[in-house]
Amino acid sequence: MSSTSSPLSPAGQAVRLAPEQRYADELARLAAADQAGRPTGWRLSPSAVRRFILGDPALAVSRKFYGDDPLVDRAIVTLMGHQGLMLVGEPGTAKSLLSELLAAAISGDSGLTVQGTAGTTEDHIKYSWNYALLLAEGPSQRALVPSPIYQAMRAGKLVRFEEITRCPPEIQDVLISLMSDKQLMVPELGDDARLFAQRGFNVIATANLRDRGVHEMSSALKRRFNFETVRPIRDHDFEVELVMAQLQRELADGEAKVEVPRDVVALLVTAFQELRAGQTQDGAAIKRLDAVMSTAEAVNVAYAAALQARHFNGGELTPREIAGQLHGVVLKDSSDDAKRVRHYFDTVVRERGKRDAQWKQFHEAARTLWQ
Amino acid sequence: MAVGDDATTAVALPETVAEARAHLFGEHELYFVPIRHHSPACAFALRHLLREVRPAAVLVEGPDDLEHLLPLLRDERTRTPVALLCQTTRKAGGSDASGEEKPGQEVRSSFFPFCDYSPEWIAVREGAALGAQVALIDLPWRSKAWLRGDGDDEAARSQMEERHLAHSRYLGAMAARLGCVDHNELWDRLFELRDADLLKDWRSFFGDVFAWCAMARLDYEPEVLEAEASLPRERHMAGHLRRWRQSVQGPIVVVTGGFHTSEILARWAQAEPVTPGGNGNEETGAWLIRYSFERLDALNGYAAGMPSPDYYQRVWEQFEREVPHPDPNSPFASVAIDCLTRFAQATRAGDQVDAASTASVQAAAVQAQRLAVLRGHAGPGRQDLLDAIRSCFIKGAADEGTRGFNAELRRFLGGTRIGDVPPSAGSPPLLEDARRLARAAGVRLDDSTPRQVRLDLYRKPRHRERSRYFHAMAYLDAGLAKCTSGPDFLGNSRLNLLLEEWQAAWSPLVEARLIELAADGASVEAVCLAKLRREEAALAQEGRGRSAGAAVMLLLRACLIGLHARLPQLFAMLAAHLDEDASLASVVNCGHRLMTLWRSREPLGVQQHPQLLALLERCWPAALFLLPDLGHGDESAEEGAVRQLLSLRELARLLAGLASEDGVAAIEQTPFWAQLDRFASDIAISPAVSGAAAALLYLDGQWDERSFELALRQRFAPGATPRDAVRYLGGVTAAAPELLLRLPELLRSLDDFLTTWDEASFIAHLPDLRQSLTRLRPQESAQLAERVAELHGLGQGDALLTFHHDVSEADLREGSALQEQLRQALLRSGLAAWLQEPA
Repeated sequence: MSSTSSPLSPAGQAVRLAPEQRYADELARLAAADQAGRPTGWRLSPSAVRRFILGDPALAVSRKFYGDDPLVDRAIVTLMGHQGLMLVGEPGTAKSLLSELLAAAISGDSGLTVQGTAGTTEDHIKYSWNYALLLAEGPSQRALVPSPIYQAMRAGKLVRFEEITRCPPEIQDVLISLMSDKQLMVPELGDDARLFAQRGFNVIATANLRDRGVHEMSSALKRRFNFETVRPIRDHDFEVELVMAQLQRELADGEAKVEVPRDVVALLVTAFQELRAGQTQDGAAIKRLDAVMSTAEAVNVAYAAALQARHFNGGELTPREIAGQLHGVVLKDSSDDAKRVRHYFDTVVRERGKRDAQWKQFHEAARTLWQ
Repeated sequence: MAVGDDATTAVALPETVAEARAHLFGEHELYFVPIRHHSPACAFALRHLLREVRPAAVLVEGPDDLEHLLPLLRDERTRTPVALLCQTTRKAGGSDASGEEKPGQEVRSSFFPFCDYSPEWIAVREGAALGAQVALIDLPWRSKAWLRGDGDDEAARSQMEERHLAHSRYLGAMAARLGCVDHNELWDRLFELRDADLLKDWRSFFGDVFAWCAMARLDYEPEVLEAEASLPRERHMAGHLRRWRQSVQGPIVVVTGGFHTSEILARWAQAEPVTPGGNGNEETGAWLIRYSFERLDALNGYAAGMPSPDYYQRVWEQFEREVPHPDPNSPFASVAIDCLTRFAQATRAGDQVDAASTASVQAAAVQAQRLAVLRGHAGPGRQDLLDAIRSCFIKGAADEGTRGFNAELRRFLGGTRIGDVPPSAGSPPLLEDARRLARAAGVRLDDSTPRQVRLDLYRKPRHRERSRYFHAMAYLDAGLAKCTSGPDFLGNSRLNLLLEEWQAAWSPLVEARLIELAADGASVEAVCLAKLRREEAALAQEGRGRSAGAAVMLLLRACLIGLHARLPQLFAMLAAHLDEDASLASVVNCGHRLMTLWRSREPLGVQQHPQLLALLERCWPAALFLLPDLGHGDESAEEGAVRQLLSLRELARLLAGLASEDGVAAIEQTPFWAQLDRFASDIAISPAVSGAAAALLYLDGQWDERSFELALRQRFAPGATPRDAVRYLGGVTAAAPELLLRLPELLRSLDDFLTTWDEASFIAHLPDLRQSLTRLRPQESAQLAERVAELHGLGQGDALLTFHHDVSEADLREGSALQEQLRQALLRSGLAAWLQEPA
């Protein structure tokens, strides 16, 4: 959905607002205070974009992306140049979030998005036709249905290409000429019908290079992008903080209260970090899971467990609910993962349970569930 | 906007710091210069300060007992990077009267490095050029305060200060506020990335440095600073300053690490004057040595200052030009572009998968410039450059695959430059000798990049010389060269190779190691000899003084490293050991090693030693003398005994060959065979040795087939214990596995014997049987199986040769045990008839 068309449903009740709507006041404050020069086509100066994403206490702008500040610098600067920006990394590392934030801050519009799937066609990338009009009037500007990329080129905005590696390689390669020539031919409208990209146009792509069901990228396409690798958060306390904050936000509108003790969330984050890294906090090597153990998944588990606690078990989140919800995350595609988690419970969790009541509870709950 | 403003205004300074900052320059004609070690910006500002102030004296943080080395630093021929090296020997155990090094003794080395852009270097050189007296004012190197630290690091004092900076909470918080990765980037942003005009304003520059360091110091308790020797050092420096102020007219410039400035400033007026250490002429164990950028690179883990010395060297060179340029950012931008181009060329030359194109270089240059603007840097700094390279050169995810790229990048920015010192630097004579030899061996002394060297040992005497030098240095563990391929004379393998390949590089580490060894002698040869003699002595102490096997290794080693002058003594020692050695294994081993020496006499340079052949001849009787004991070991020693027997026979074969070729007296084999005969016939001898002896006798034609068959029949006759028979068979197959195929009689008697065994003893001995048969090649095993099948009237491809992969050996064993139980049960129940096969 692009901002130029009218919304199909009222935004007020939306499950999730686009960042430019959610942080409209922050963007307005930053724009008002922005003294530095703006590249043509940009809504904000590069340093204001940086402050929008990394926070600016002076203007009451919250921090929205954590963990790697230089990466944000590099991403902003890349978007000022001719190269596109390619965000790669494991699932759930907030690649899409970062690309949305960049688009919202730079173009004021994060809605110009192509979702890459196995079924993405050239039409989704260039343009297609309103066939009723096409039949009635022949090829005309009116009958042409522009793709998000078409719209972004015309308006000089950023376009986001999500999960680009899920598209077949020949579809990915349609981007190559668009990105190097910065123009789009529409032969149906005449020999010299071409759309020149306006300044401010660029592409932010996100990709997963190692997931299942993804395609290789051609080197020609790779050369058109600067790559940035987004990593999972490694700092334990910080991740706990993040999960707590997001959980509070998600639970805020509920009618019944639920207690979320910090040490239960800390336990969840510890388990996630250990299973993600294949190493315990004490440095012992354990089996890594195939399943994605991202921060986002941790929030999902905590949220589901909190709901369970609220509606079915007494209103306080305990390791018992966490252990139950862990099932759904782990048992996705690899049957070996169940074995690995069981081993994790039998060794690491059990050992900790001898010293810590929370871990003991975690272990006992898991024993009935996982054996 | 002065970037430095951030440092002082972003966080309000405590009053004490702000107050002290006001007293840095000019009071009592004293100029306190707080620096960070190896900072180009500090060096540049310091130079301007010195030229403006024209001091009467320059006092530099450095051990005051190293002052006699200052003239060397000022010498025109000294080229950076160089370092002052101090060595002290700590006696852990205590040494004996002869002064020989004991294992308990520990040499500690410490480096004080200088490069072109070290402020201390500028202080010494520029100060001297301006006619000032230059002095070092820190605690003497021999002072106990230095020796208290834990001895495993190099304990250069600059490291300590870097640690302070790295761990400061204040600097950490400020780095986070300004969006810097760490204190290094923060430093770059606040200090290094000022343009030249701002740096010339040294008052505000050093004022900011002072504030920066003073804030870092606030995190530390006095007790901590006392314990790690910071406070004692500062008291000492303050004392020096007091004395200088009393005795010299005119301005004095005090150059110390910024971490110490506040304390010296606060203390000097009340300090007790310190006179320089009285032991100035005494041998302090300190030298000016060549150093390398690699060692300087803090990221490599040495932590002696700023990272990426080669990068900063280039920045410094740009600064030094001092040509007015329309673009004030030019020094950084031109260094960045230069680095990008050269790094891209390096990736292309290295034939890397993702070699950087010119387009990438352009993109990266623009990227670096824009990052600098975004971050408020005066020009693209080191972090901007690294980020630009990371963005534009790596096409793909940053993961394990890019680790090599990152290491390459770090090495590239670190550089490989090595400095030079004047000949008068008086390095220990050992070092001079090693250097002379290295030059002769074609090792480049001005570059620490390892190079591949191929040596033709057999045809080129010069190459042989080089090989000996490399071996000697490897023996001394000097880190000069590593052998990557070639004959291994010591390990007795790969002797067919003609070429030796080495990876060789001269590095400051080599010099440091040689300086450690300097106490042992004045030349490489002398030091090797000392080590060899220590090993001889150690052999005697360990009670292996009479081991010919160990002695012959020393002999080989001496040949390998070119200690041929020592050979007569070693030969004599070996001869004595050979007579006294009580171990057959050691004697036989010695014989084989001597054979190696003889066969490689050309590359090892022992053609001229008649003792070698004489010794070889003496090995044989010495071994024969020890041979009779071989058969009396217990079962556990049996395998080793058989191996020695075979090894001895191999030696006999080699010696016999030698006799025909080289005119050596033929060895007498008869006593050997006589002894074998005794082994083969005596029942009291351990069966494996008997078996091996019998097989050897048969192979050597001393026994005909009949005698051998007779012996076999005795061993496998009904009534023989299965255990002994299996051991005997093991001996036979160890000596000559092919006999199982060549001698039908052997197979038949073995087969007959096996049929007399009951199931239980077969299963019990199965592992040993299998082991004896593993000596056959797979093809031979198949042949053997066919023979056995024929023996039992089975045709080819019959049941015997088919086996079930799905039934494991354990299953089979369990199954037969079960069947046996069943049979017993049926017999007990009087149902023997059931066991009859149906007709």
